[in-house]
Amino acid sequence: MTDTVLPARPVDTLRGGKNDDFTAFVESAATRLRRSAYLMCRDWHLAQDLTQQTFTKMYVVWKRIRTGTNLDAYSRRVDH
Amino acid sequence: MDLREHFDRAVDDDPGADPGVMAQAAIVRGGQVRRRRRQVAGAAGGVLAVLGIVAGLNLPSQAEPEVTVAAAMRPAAAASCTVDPVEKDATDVALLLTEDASAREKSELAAALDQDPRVGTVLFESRAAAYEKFRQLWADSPDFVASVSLQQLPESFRVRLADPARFTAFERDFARRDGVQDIVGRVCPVSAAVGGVR
Repeated sequence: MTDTVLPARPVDTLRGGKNDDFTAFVESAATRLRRSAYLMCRDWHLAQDLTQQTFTKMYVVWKRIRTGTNLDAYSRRVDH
Repeated sequence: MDLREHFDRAVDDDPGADPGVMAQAAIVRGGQVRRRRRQVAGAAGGVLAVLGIVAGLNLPSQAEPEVTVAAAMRPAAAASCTVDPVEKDATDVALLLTEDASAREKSELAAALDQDPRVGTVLFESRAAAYEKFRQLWADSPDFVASVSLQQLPESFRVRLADPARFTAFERDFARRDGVQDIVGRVCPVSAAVGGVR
């Protein structure tokens, strides 16, 4: 899934910045999640895919995550 | 050497990835899923746990928030299966359990899977089995392995469905159950590991 061709600029600029907080979250968490995933497969490509899947799932339910959660902190079950 | 150093050493060949591109891909693909779900309102039930702390592996860093790793410490796709999860027609399913799933929740899940006519084969991967795979994967770094505890590894049920067409209903039913953190369906050949994960 990493080989999809995407436009050069993040989509949030096309949508008036409403995805800014999501993008900021991904930027802050991506390295840690990728590295954690790597521990389970020792394959950077797979780790990247797994992390991307996680972020995609989070984006689907992002409004609920954002309104109900202190993202800096904890375990969270998110209904969707 | 502390855990942080072991961890840094284990990942020191990280090729890196552009988080801006990852965010963008999540927005594009996640947006497609949102639109599809709006079109089939009510079809998507369930619970998704995307964040969780794995005690002790919550490696501190000034640059990153305390978001963690439970979501990422999942088994990767089996080699011959689709890497990306599918939303329908999955042949194989991994039910990832919450870190604090109780023995009772697990036995109820096992019984429900066992009795479900949609399920062809079901296997359970314990923390011990996950740890053994982890240990073998990092056999050349015993100090690192020693720094990770059993409790930090995920438990999962791995299922091969009797009929892929029933995946969507299966997912909806099981996503609601206590102890289930996430459900990942993939399309696999019969030769693949049951559940579509390693």
